[in-house]
Amino acid sequence: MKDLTLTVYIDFKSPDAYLALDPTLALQLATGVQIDWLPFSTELTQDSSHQSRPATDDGFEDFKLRRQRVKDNYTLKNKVRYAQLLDLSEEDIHRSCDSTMASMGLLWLKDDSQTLVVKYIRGVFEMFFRAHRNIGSFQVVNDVINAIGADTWGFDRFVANEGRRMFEKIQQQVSELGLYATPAYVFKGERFQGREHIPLIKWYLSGRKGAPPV
Amino acid sequence: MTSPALTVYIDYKSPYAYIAKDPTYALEEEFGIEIDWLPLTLNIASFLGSAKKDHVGKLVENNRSARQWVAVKYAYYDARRYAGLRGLTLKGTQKIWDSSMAAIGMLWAKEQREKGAQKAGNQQDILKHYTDLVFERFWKRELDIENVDVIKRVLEEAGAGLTGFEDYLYGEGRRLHDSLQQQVLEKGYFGVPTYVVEDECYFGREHLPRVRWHLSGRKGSPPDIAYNSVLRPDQTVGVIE
Repeated sequence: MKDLTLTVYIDFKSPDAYLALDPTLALQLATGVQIDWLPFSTELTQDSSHQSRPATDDGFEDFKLRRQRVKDNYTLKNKVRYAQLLDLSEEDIHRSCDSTMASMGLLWLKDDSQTLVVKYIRGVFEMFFRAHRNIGSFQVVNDVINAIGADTWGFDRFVANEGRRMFEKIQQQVSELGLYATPAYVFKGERFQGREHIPLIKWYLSGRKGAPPV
Repeated sequence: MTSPALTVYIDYKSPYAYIAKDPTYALEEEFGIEIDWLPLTLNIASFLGSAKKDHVGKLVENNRSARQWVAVKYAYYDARRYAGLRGLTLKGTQKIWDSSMAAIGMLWAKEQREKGAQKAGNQQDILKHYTDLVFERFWKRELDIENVDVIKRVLEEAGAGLTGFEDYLYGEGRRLHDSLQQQVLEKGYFGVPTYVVEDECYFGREHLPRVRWHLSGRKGSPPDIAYNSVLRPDQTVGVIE
Protein backbone atom coordinates (compact mmCIF):
# COMPACT_ATOMS: atom_id res chain seq x y z
CA MET A 1 0.00 0.00 0.00
CA LYS A 2 1.35 3.44 -0.98
CA ASP A 3 0.55 5.04 2.35
CA LEU A 4 2.07 2.23 4.39
CA THR A 5 4.81 4.21 6.09
CA LEU A 6 6.39 3.47 9.41
CA THR A 7 8.29 6.33 11.02
CA VAL A 8 11.25 5.13 13.04
CA TYR A 9 13.08 7.49 15.35
CA ILE A 10 16.61 6.55 16.31
CA ASP A 11 19.35 8.06 18.41
CA PHE A 12 22.79 7.13 17.17
CA LYS A 13 24.22 6.99 20.69
CA SER A 14 21.58 4.50 21.85
CA PRO A 15 22.58 0.82 21.92
CA ASP A 16 18.88 -0.03 21.91
CA ALA A 17 18.49 1.84 18.62
CA TYR A 18 21.46 -0.07 17.18
CA LEU A 19 19.96 -3.36 18.37
CA ALA A 20 16.70 -2.40 16.68
CA LEU A 21 18.25 -1.81 13.27
CA ASP A 22 18.25 -5.37 11.91
CA PRO A 23 14.90 -6.39 13.44
CA THR A 24 13.37 -3.25 11.93
CA LEU A 25 14.85 -4.03 8.52
CA ALA A 26 13.55 -7.57 8.86
CA LEU A 27 10.10 -6.13 9.57
CA GLN A 28 10.40 -4.06 6.40
CA LEU A 29 11.42 -7.10 4.39
CA ALA A 30 8.57 -9.19 5.76
CA THR A 31 5.83 -6.62 5.28
CA GLY A 32 6.99 -4.27 2.53
CA VAL A 33 6.42 -1.25 4.74
CA GLN A 34 8.15 1.98 3.77
CA ILE A 35 10.31 3.32 6.56
CA ASP A 36 10.93 6.98 7.24
CA TRP A 37 14.06 7.00 9.37
CA LEU A 38 14.30 10.12 11.52
CA PRO A 39 16.82 11.13 14.13
CA PHE A 40 15.98 11.94 17.70
CA SER A 41 18.47 12.80 20.36
CA THR A 42 17.53 11.65 23.81
CA GLU A 43 18.87 13.41 26.88
CA LEU A 44 22.60 13.65 26.56
CA THR A 45 23.51 12.26 29.95
CA GLN A 46 21.78 10.47 32.74
CA ASP A 47 22.07 12.17 36.10
CA SER A 48 24.49 9.87 37.85
CA SER A 49 25.14 12.20 40.76
CA HIS A 50 23.07 9.92 42.98
CA GLN A 51 25.76 7.26 42.66
CA SER A 52 28.04 9.26 44.93
CA ARG A 53 25.48 11.14 46.98
CA PRO A 54 25.86 10.51 50.73
CA ALA A 55 23.09 9.02 52.81
CA THR A 56 20.69 11.43 54.46
CA ASP A 57 18.45 11.31 57.49
CA ASP A 58 15.39 11.31 55.24
CA GLY A 59 14.16 7.71 54.87
CA PHE A 60 12.19 8.42 51.70
CA GLU A 61 15.04 10.25 50.01
CA ASP A 62 17.40 7.46 50.98
CA PHE A 63 15.02 4.90 49.53
CA LYS A 64 14.80 6.92 46.30
CA LEU A 65 18.56 7.00 46.04
CA ARG A 66 18.96 3.29 46.77
CA ARG A 67 16.27 2.38 44.28
CA GLN A 68 17.77 4.57 41.58
CA ARG A 69 21.19 2.99 42.11
CA VAL A 70 19.71 -0.49 41.88
CA LYS A 71 17.84 0.48 38.74
CA ASP A 72 20.90 2.04 37.12
CA ASN A 73 23.00 -1.03 37.89
CA TYR A 74 20.34 -3.27 36.41
CA THR A 75 19.94 -1.04 33.35
CA LEU A 76 23.63 -1.26 32.56
CA LYS A 77 23.73 -5.01 33.16
CA ASN A 78 20.69 -5.43 30.92
CA LYS A 79 22.18 -3.32 28.14
CA VAL A 80 25.37 -5.41 28.29
CA ARG A 81 23.33 -8.62 28.22
CA TYR A 82 21.58 -7.71 24.99
CA ALA A 83 24.57 -5.90 23.49
CA GLN A 84 26.19 -9.32 23.32
CA LEU A 85 23.71 -10.09 20.54
CA LEU A 86 25.81 -7.66 18.48
CA ASP A 87 29.11 -8.83 19.98
CA LEU A 88 29.44 -5.50 21.77
CA SER A 89 31.16 -5.21 25.11
CA GLU A 90 30.36 -3.02 28.10
CA GLU A 91 33.14 -0.70 27.01
CA ASP A 92 31.55 -0.43 23.57
CA ILE A 93 28.16 0.63 24.84
CA HIS A 94 28.93 2.51 28.03
CA ARG A 95 29.69 5.67 26.14
CA SER A 96 27.94 8.90 25.41
CA CYS A 97 28.24 11.78 23.02
CA ASP A 98 26.27 14.54 21.35
CA SER A 99 24.65 12.76 18.42
CA THR A 100 23.31 15.95 16.80
CA MET A 101 25.87 15.97 14.00
CA ALA A 102 25.16 12.34 13.12
CA SER A 103 21.45 13.15 13.25
CA MET A 104 21.90 15.95 10.74
CA GLY A 105 23.81 13.54 8.54
CA LEU A 106 20.71 11.36 8.41
CA LEU A 107 18.61 14.36 7.48
CA TRP A 108 21.13 15.27 4.76
CA LEU A 109 20.41 11.91 3.14
CA LYS A 110 16.65 12.11 3.63
CA ASP A 111 15.84 12.27 -0.06
CA ASP A 112 18.35 9.60 -1.01
CA SER A 113 17.56 5.95 -1.53
CA GLN A 114 16.64 3.68 1.34
CA THR A 115 19.76 1.70 0.57
CA LEU A 116 22.00 4.70 1.16
CA VAL A 117 20.08 5.75 4.24
CA VAL A 118 20.46 2.32 5.80
CA LYS A 119 24.14 2.21 4.86
CA TYR A 120 24.60 5.54 6.59
CA ILE A 121 22.73 4.46 9.70
CA ARG A 122 24.72 1.26 9.98
CA GLY A 123 27.94 3.12 9.25
CA VAL A 124 27.36 5.63 12.03
CA PHE A 125 26.42 2.98 14.57
CA GLU A 126 29.56 1.04 13.73
CA MET A 127 31.67 4.17 13.87
CA PHE A 128 30.38 4.97 17.36
CA PHE A 129 29.99 1.57 19.00
CA ARG A 130 32.77 -0.40 17.35
CA ALA A 131 35.35 2.15 16.25
CA HIS A 132 34.63 4.42 19.25
CA ARG A 133 34.71 7.51 17.06
CA ASN A 134 33.09 10.78 18.00
CA ILE A 135 29.94 11.03 15.91
CA GLY A 136 29.48 14.55 17.16
CA SER A 137 32.39 15.53 14.93
CA PHE A 138 31.64 17.05 11.53
CA GLN A 139 34.65 15.28 10.02
CA VAL A 140 33.65 11.84 11.28
CA VAL A 141 30.09 12.20 9.97
CA ASN A 142 31.30 13.70 6.68
CA ASP A 143 33.63 10.70 6.27
CA VAL A 144 30.74 8.27 6.77
CA ILE A 145 28.70 10.05 4.12
CA ASN A 146 31.67 9.90 1.76
CA ALA A 147 32.32 6.26 2.52
CA ILE A 148 28.80 5.20 1.53
CA GLY A 149 29.13 7.00 -1.78
CA ALA A 150 26.83 9.93 -1.08
CA ASP A 151 27.53 13.54 -1.96
CA THR A 152 28.94 15.76 0.79
CA TRP A 153 29.08 18.98 -1.18
CA GLY A 154 27.16 21.55 0.88
CA PHE A 155 26.94 19.37 3.98
CA ASP A 156 28.88 21.97 5.97
CA ARG A 157 26.34 24.69 5.11
CA PHE A 158 23.50 22.25 5.78
CA VAL A 159 24.56 21.52 9.34
CA ALA A 160 24.99 25.24 10.05
CA ASN A 161 21.57 26.17 8.74
CA GLU A 162 18.75 24.04 7.35
CA GLY A 163 19.95 20.81 8.92
CA ARG A 164 19.94 22.25 12.38
CA ARG A 165 16.48 23.75 11.87
CA MET A 166 15.14 20.43 10.61
CA PHE A 167 16.68 18.56 13.51
CA GLU A 168 15.28 20.93 16.11
CA LYS A 169 11.85 20.75 14.50
CA ILE A 170 11.91 16.97 14.71
CA GLN A 171 12.99 17.14 18.35
CA GLN A 172 9.98 19.33 19.03
CA GLN A 173 7.66 16.96 17.14
CA VAL A 174 8.90 13.95 19.09
CA SER A 175 8.43 15.80 22.34
CA GLU A 176 4.86 16.67 21.33
CA LEU A 177 4.24 13.01 20.54
CA GLY A 178 5.14 12.20 24.15
CA LEU A 179 8.10 10.05 23.18
CA TYR A 180 11.38 10.18 25.04
CA ALA A 181 13.42 7.11 24.14
CA THR A 182 14.58 5.33 21.01
CA PRO A 183 13.93 3.40 18.98
CA ALA A 184 10.43 4.78 18.67
CA TYR A 185 7.95 3.78 16.00
CA VAL A 186 4.91 5.66 14.77
CA PHE A 187 2.41 3.92 12.51
CA LYS A 188 -0.88 5.54 11.54
CA GLY A 189 -0.62 7.80 14.56
CA GLU A 190 0.01 4.98 17.02
CA ARG A 191 3.21 5.32 19.04
CA PHE A 192 5.51 2.54 20.14
CA GLN A 193 8.58 3.05 22.23
CA GLY A 194 11.07 0.19 22.04
CA ARG A 195 11.87 -2.67 19.65
CA GLU A 196 9.83 -5.05 21.81
CA HIS A 197 6.78 -3.79 19.93
CA ILE A 198 7.98 -5.06 16.57
CA PRO A 199 5.83 -8.23 16.76
CA LEU A 200 2.69 -6.13 17.24
CA ILE A 201 3.63 -3.71 14.46
CA LYS A 202 4.18 -6.72 12.21
CA TRP A 203 0.79 -8.10 13.22
CA TYR A 204 -0.82 -4.78 12.27
CA LEU A 205 1.02 -4.65 8.95
CA SER A 206 0.11 -8.26 8.18
CA GLY A 207 -3.61 -7.66 8.48
CA ARG A 208 -4.21 -8.39 12.19
CA LYS A 209 -4.69 -12.08 11.57
CA GLY A 210 -4.96 -14.43 14.52
CA ALA A 211 -4.40 -13.59 18.16
CA PRO A 212 -2.24 -10.51 18.72
CA PRO A 213 1.20 -10.87 20.27
CA VAL A 214 1.29 -9.27 23.72
CA MET B 1 15.10 -27.46 49.30
CA THR B 2 15.67 -26.63 45.65
CA SER B 3 15.07 -23.12 44.36
CA PRO B 4 11.94 -22.65 42.25
CA ALA B 5 12.58 -22.73 38.52
CA LEU B 6 11.00 -19.29 38.19
CA THR B 7 10.19 -16.58 40.70
CA VAL B 8 8.00 -13.69 39.59
CA TYR B 9 7.48 -10.48 41.49
CA ILE B 10 4.27 -8.52 40.89
CA ASP B 11 2.30 -5.61 42.31
CA TYR B 12 -1.47 -5.45 41.83
CA LYS B 13 -1.35 -1.70 41.25
CA SER B 14 1.00 -2.03 38.29
CA PRO B 15 -0.67 -2.07 34.87
CA TYR B 16 2.37 -3.80 33.41
CA ALA B 17 2.17 -6.57 35.98
CA TYR B 18 -1.51 -7.01 35.05
CA ILE B 19 -0.70 -7.28 31.35
CA ALA B 20 2.11 -9.73 32.11
CA LYS B 21 0.02 -12.01 34.32
CA ASP B 22 -1.44 -14.34 31.72
CA PRO B 23 1.65 -14.63 29.47
CA THR B 24 3.56 -15.43 32.66
CA TYR B 25 1.08 -18.06 33.84
CA ALA B 26 1.36 -19.63 30.38
CA LEU B 27 4.97 -20.52 31.25
CA GLU B 28 3.71 -22.94 33.90
CA GLU B 29 1.95 -24.97 31.25
CA GLU B 30 4.73 -24.59 28.70
CA PHE B 31 7.49 -25.74 31.05
CA GLY B 32 5.63 -27.84 33.58
CA ILE B 33 6.70 -25.62 36.44
CA GLU B 34 4.99 -23.92 39.34
CA ILE B 35 5.92 -20.26 39.53
CA ASP B 36 6.88 -18.83 42.90
CA TRP B 37 4.87 -15.60 42.96
CA LEU B 38 6.03 -12.90 45.36
CA PRO B 39 4.93 -9.32 45.98
CA LEU B 40 7.12 -6.37 45.21
CA THR B 41 5.15 -3.43 46.53
CA LEU B 42 6.15 -0.41 44.51
CA ASN B 43 6.75 2.94 46.13
CA ILE B 44 5.49 4.83 43.11
CA ALA B 45 6.24 8.27 44.53
CA SER B 46 9.92 7.37 44.72
CA PHE B 47 10.29 7.18 40.92
CA LEU B 48 7.18 8.63 39.32
CA GLY B 49 6.21 11.27 41.83
CA SER B 50 2.63 11.36 43.03
CA ALA B 51 -0.69 12.80 41.95
CA LYS B 52 -4.32 12.54 42.89
CA LYS B 53 -7.50 13.06 40.89
CA ASP B 54 -11.01 13.73 42.14
CA HIS B 55 -14.06 11.67 41.19
CA VAL B 56 -14.45 13.52 37.88
CA GLY B 57 -10.81 13.09 36.93
CA LYS B 58 -9.61 16.56 37.78
CA LEU B 59 -6.09 16.76 39.12
CA VAL B 60 -6.23 17.90 42.74
CA GLU B 61 -2.70 17.09 43.85
CA ASN B 62 0.46 17.08 41.74
CA ASN B 63 3.97 16.19 42.84
CA ARG B 64 5.25 15.07 39.44
CA SER B 65 7.76 16.71 37.16
CA ALA B 66 6.95 17.25 33.49
CA ARG B 67 9.28 14.38 32.62
CA GLN B 68 7.51 12.06 35.06
CA TRP B 69 4.13 12.97 33.56
CA VAL B 70 5.40 12.12 30.07
CA ALA B 71 6.57 8.73 31.34
CA VAL B 72 3.29 8.02 33.18
CA LYS B 73 1.14 9.03 30.22
CA TYR B 74 3.07 6.85 27.81
CA ALA B 75 3.05 3.92 30.25
CA TYR B 76 -0.75 4.00 30.55
CA TYR B 77 -1.15 4.52 26.79
CA ASP B 78 1.00 1.48 26.14
CA ALA B 79 -0.56 -0.71 28.82
CA ARG B 80 -4.07 0.16 27.59
CA ARG B 81 -3.06 -0.75 24.07
CA TYR B 82 -2.14 -4.29 25.05
CA ALA B 83 -5.01 -4.56 27.51
CA GLY B 84 -7.42 -3.54 24.77
CA LEU B 85 -6.06 -6.18 22.40
CA ARG B 86 -6.97 -8.80 24.99
CA GLY B 87 -10.29 -7.34 26.04
CA LEU B 88 -9.04 -6.32 29.48
CA THR B 89 -10.28 -3.15 31.19
CA LEU B 90 -7.58 -0.83 32.43
CA LYS B 91 -8.94 2.34 33.98
CA GLY B 92 -6.40 4.86 35.18
CA THR B 93 -6.05 4.99 38.93
CA GLN B 94 -7.14 8.14 40.69
CA LYS B 95 -4.51 8.03 43.38
CA ILE B 96 -1.39 6.15 44.40
CA TRP B 97 -2.71 3.08 46.18
CA ASP B 98 -1.11 1.23 49.06
CA SER B 99 -1.20 -2.29 47.69
CA SER B 100 0.57 -3.92 50.63
CA MET B 101 -2.66 -5.32 52.04
CA ALA B 102 -3.49 -6.98 48.74
CA ALA B 103 0.10 -8.26 48.66
CA ILE B 104 -0.29 -9.81 52.10
CA GLY B 105 -3.50 -11.35 50.82
CA MET B 106 -1.38 -12.90 48.06
CA LEU B 107 0.99 -14.35 50.65
CA TRP B 108 -2.00 -15.74 52.59
CA ALA B 109 -3.51 -17.27 49.45
CA LYS B 110 -0.13 -18.80 48.68
CA GLU B 111 0.14 -20.34 52.14
CA GLN B 112 -3.40 -21.64 51.89
CA ARG B 113 -2.59 -23.28 48.58
CA GLU B 114 0.59 -24.82 49.96
CA LYS B 115 -1.25 -26.18 52.96
CA GLY B 116 -3.79 -27.66 50.59
CA ALA B 117 -6.49 -25.88 52.54
CA GLN B 118 -8.94 -25.63 49.67
CA LYS B 119 -12.61 -25.58 50.32
CA ALA B 120 -14.44 -28.73 49.40
CA GLY B 121 -15.26 -28.83 45.72
CA ASN B 122 -13.04 -25.90 44.85
CA GLN B 123 -10.51 -27.28 42.42
CA GLN B 124 -9.06 -23.95 41.40
CA ASP B 125 -5.63 -22.72 42.33
CA ILE B 126 -6.43 -20.34 45.20
CA LEU B 127 -3.51 -18.06 44.48
CA LYS B 128 -4.26 -17.81 40.76
CA HIS B 129 -7.92 -17.19 41.42
CA TYR B 130 -7.12 -14.51 43.99
CA THR B 131 -4.63 -12.84 41.68
CA ASP B 132 -7.04 -12.94 38.77
CA LEU B 133 -9.84 -11.43 40.86
CA VAL B 134 -7.72 -8.68 42.39
CA PHE B 135 -6.19 -7.60 39.12
CA GLU B 136 -9.41 -7.61 37.13
CA ARG B 137 -11.52 -5.79 39.68
CA PHE B 138 -8.88 -3.30 40.77
CA TRP B 139 -8.31 -2.16 37.21
CA LYS B 140 -12.04 -1.78 36.72
CA ARG B 141 -12.03 0.46 39.81
CA GLU B 142 -14.27 -2.09 41.54
CA LEU B 143 -11.92 -3.03 44.37
CA ASP B 144 -10.68 -1.03 47.32
CA ILE B 145 -7.44 -2.86 47.98
CA GLU B 146 -6.84 -0.84 51.13
CA ASN B 147 -9.97 -2.26 52.80
CA VAL B 148 -9.45 -5.41 54.87
CA ASP B 149 -13.06 -6.55 54.47
CA VAL B 150 -12.75 -6.25 50.70
CA ILE B 151 -9.56 -8.33 50.69
CA LYS B 152 -11.19 -10.91 52.91
CA ARG B 153 -14.17 -11.23 50.55
CA VAL B 154 -11.87 -11.73 47.58
CA LEU B 155 -9.85 -14.35 49.45
CA GLU B 156 -13.03 -16.19 50.36
CA GLU B 157 -14.28 -16.03 46.79
CA ALA B 158 -10.93 -17.40 45.64
CA GLY B 159 -11.42 -20.39 47.93
CA ALA B 160 -9.13 -19.43 50.79
CA GLY B 161 -10.03 -20.04 54.40
CA LEU B 162 -10.13 -16.90 56.51
CA THR B 163 -9.48 -18.24 59.98
CA GLY B 164 -6.55 -16.30 61.35
CA PHE B 165 -6.27 -13.99 58.37
CA GLU B 166 -6.62 -10.72 60.27
CA ASP B 167 -4.00 -11.78 62.79
CA TYR B 168 -1.78 -12.72 59.85
CA LEU B 169 -2.49 -9.44 58.07
CA TYR B 170 -1.35 -7.29 60.99
CA GLY B 171 1.25 -9.71 62.36
CA GLU B 172 3.21 -12.42 60.60
CA GLY B 173 2.01 -11.50 57.13
CA ARG B 174 2.97 -7.85 57.51
CA ARG B 175 6.37 -8.83 58.86
CA LEU B 176 6.93 -11.24 55.98
CA HIS B 177 5.80 -8.67 53.44
CA ASP B 178 7.97 -5.91 54.84
CA SER B 179 10.95 -8.24 55.10
CA LEU B 180 10.51 -9.22 51.46
CA GLN B 181 10.47 -5.55 50.46
CA GLN B 182 13.75 -4.98 52.30
CA GLN B 183 15.27 -7.93 50.49
CA VAL B 184 14.20 -7.03 46.97
CA LEU B 185 16.38 -3.94 46.70
CA GLU B 186 19.28 -5.81 48.24
CA LYS B 187 18.83 -8.49 45.60
CA GLY B 188 18.81 -5.89 42.84
CA TYR B 189 15.10 -5.88 42.03
CA PHE B 190 13.14 -2.66 41.74
CA GLY B 191 10.15 -3.03 39.42
CA VAL B 192 7.41 -5.35 38.25
CA PRO B 193 7.07 -7.75 36.73
CA THR B 194 10.50 -9.10 37.64
CA TYR B 195 11.44 -12.63 36.63
CA VAL B 196 14.21 -14.50 38.40
CA VAL B 197 15.68 -17.66 36.88
CA GLU B 198 18.79 -19.13 38.48
CA ASP B 199 19.67 -15.78 40.04
CA GLU B 200 19.37 -14.03 36.67
CA CYS B 201 16.94 -11.15 36.92
CA TYR B 202 14.75 -9.79 34.12
CA PHE B 203 12.58 -6.72 34.57
CA GLY B 204 9.62 -6.53 32.22
CA ARG B 205 7.64 -9.01 30.13
CA GLU B 206 9.66 -8.03 27.06
CA HIS B 207 12.22 -10.48 28.41
CA LEU B 208 9.84 -13.44 28.26
CA PRO B 209 11.58 -14.79 25.12
CA ARG B 210 14.83 -14.87 27.08
CA VAL B 211 13.12 -16.26 30.16
CA ARG B 212 11.79 -19.09 27.98
CA TRP B 213 15.25 -19.64 26.53
CA HIS B 214 16.66 -19.70 30.03
CA LEU B 215 14.03 -22.17 31.29
CA SER B 216 14.74 -24.35 28.24
CA GLY B 217 18.36 -24.74 29.27
CA ARG B 218 19.91 -21.82 27.37
CA LYS B 219 20.20 -23.77 24.16
CA GLY B 220 21.27 -21.90 21.06
CA SER B 221 21.66 -18.15 20.78
CA PRO B 222 19.72 -16.07 23.27
CA PRO B 223 16.76 -14.23 21.79
CA ASP B 224 16.14 -10.49 21.80
CA ILE B 225 13.41 -8.71 23.72
CA ALA B 226 9.90 -8.87 22.30
CA TYR B 227 6.28 -8.68 23.31
CA ASN B 228 5.57 -11.88 21.44
CA SER B 229 3.39 -13.99 23.69
CA VAL B 230 0.39 -15.32 21.80
CA LEU B 231 -2.28 -16.63 24.15
CA ARG B 232 -5.09 -19.07 23.54
CA PRO B 233 -8.58 -17.81 24.39
CA ASP B 234 -8.61 -19.94 27.55
CA GLN B 235 -5.29 -18.46 28.65
CA THR B 236 -6.46 -14.90 28.37
CA VAL B 237 -9.65 -14.96 30.40
CA GLY B 238 -8.84 -13.46 33.75
CA VAL B 239 -11.55 -14.69 36.03
CA ILE B 240 -13.32 -17.98 35.85
CA GLU B 241 -16.92 -17.19 36.82
